[in-house]
Amino acid sequence: MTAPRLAGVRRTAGAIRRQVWPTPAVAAWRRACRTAGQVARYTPGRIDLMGYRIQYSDLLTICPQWHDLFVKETLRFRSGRSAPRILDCGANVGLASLYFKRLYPAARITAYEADPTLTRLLAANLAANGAGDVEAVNAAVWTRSGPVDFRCEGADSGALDELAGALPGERLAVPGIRLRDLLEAESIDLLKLDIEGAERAVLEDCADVLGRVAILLLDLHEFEPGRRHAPAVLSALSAAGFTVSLGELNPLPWRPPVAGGDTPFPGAPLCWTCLVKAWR
Amino acid sequence: MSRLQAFRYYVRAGWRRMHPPPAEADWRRACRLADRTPRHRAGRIRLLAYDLAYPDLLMLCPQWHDIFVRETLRFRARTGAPRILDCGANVGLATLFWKRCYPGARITAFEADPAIAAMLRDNLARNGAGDVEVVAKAVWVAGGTVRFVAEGADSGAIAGLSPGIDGPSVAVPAERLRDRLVREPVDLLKLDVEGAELDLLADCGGVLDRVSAIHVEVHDFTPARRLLPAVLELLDRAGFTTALDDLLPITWRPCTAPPSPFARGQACWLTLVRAWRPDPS
Repeated sequence: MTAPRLAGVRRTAGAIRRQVWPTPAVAAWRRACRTAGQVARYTPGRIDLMGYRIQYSDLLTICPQWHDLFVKETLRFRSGRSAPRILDCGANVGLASLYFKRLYPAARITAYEADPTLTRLLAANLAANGAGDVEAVNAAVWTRSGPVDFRCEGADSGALDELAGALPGERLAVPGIRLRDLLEAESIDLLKLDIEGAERAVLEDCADVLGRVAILLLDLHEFEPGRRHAPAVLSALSAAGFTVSLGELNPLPWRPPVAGGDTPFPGAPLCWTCLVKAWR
Repeated sequence: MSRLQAFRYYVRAGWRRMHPPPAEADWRRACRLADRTPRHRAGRIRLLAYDLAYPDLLMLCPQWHDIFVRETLRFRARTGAPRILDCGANVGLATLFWKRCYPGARITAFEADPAIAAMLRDNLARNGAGDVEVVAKAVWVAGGTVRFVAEGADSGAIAGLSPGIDGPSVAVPAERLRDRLVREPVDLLKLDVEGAELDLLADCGGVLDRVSAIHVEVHDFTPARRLLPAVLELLDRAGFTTALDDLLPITWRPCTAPPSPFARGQACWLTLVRAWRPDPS
């Protein structure tokens, strides 16, 4: 058999083996996807995934979260400390905090979630899965403290009401917290920021205190063709002395762009998210 | 996915697999052939109705897939005869694709590698695109000559801009892109210039308003000098709306990255950036 053909057979055999004997994380993900296909969107419930008992508000959005965190391990990082200080901003129901706790059982984590309903699930999930020492805070990470209006989409797309492109949902006044104040108070080993479009304003507000962050994992949300965040965000990170790397570019074809949808490129996605990793 | 949906999905996938569209069937045939062919062996292949000369079949496959299967270069022109600059034309697939969409397109194709430029000229002449102007020069920020590392396939670059490629360093003539734009407005500027994109766009500052749309491959091969942030900022300032697509981690080339805390950090990658002018209305 020729070498390329042998490689092809090996590849196929590997694919079949992985399909038939998936890793526990993949098996859990598949089961969640199957279940999600059978229940209506936004039906709250509970599911056991790889030993974790997870309460959710919408199973369909748990599936990609699980896949990114526990199958692809996109947020895996190395820290010089055994008890890294982590801020999980936009914690949703807590999968990222649970993942960080799995990596570093002694990690000191504070998890911020703006949606009050999701914050309750977050606290319950942390307590039920051996991460009761993670502090769950109901607050929107923003450029000022005090109450802000938040659109509770109910799953993974809730956003500040004043941001362009916030999806419909119940509008609630939730406590705002200024990230800058948090960074001024202490140094952070890992800052995870998944705040649905607020990241640009928050990072610009924190520009001169970003030196207190060692590693940044940022979900960049681009919903507005006429006003992209990437140039400002990437420049701010470079100016703060970070080396950046981009990954996980996910086009969001189902999401209506905020104005400016006319493009001469029919194939160009107008809305997308992208994972920016930054380190020193 | 419900069981019925899953069943439908796999049946459809199987059907597509067995009955691929012609462009995809030809892509599969080219890949199979490339698997059995040593790298960097020149040859000719028929794909759809095109008779194409190539320097390296393995390099042709992803190009064909991007351009003729996925149609990533699809572009809606305002006229039937758009003015297009194809910078980094390689063997001419992009130019042939646009000629297929707009037979009246007025295209200038630049290719710096002399051997590949010869193939480009042949391919265009043989495939009904003989009216395309072929310029065997590197597009650069100045005229004269530049040192070019002729890697021989799809990675040749101006010396010093693209680390980790092997090939003879040759002196090739260069043309300043800015001069072209000063001379005439352009409907579509395609840049696939292996690391020269930032310098080129920066040099064209002030005349970019003569360009309606840009399709640029950003080659981030040097972690210490990122191109993407600067390219995006520059396009933003020049009044373009931008869209990112096709983030491709480069794993097959050496990439000297500073130590990273991420096991899966992709330090070198390729991104497709499309830029256009927002509708004035």
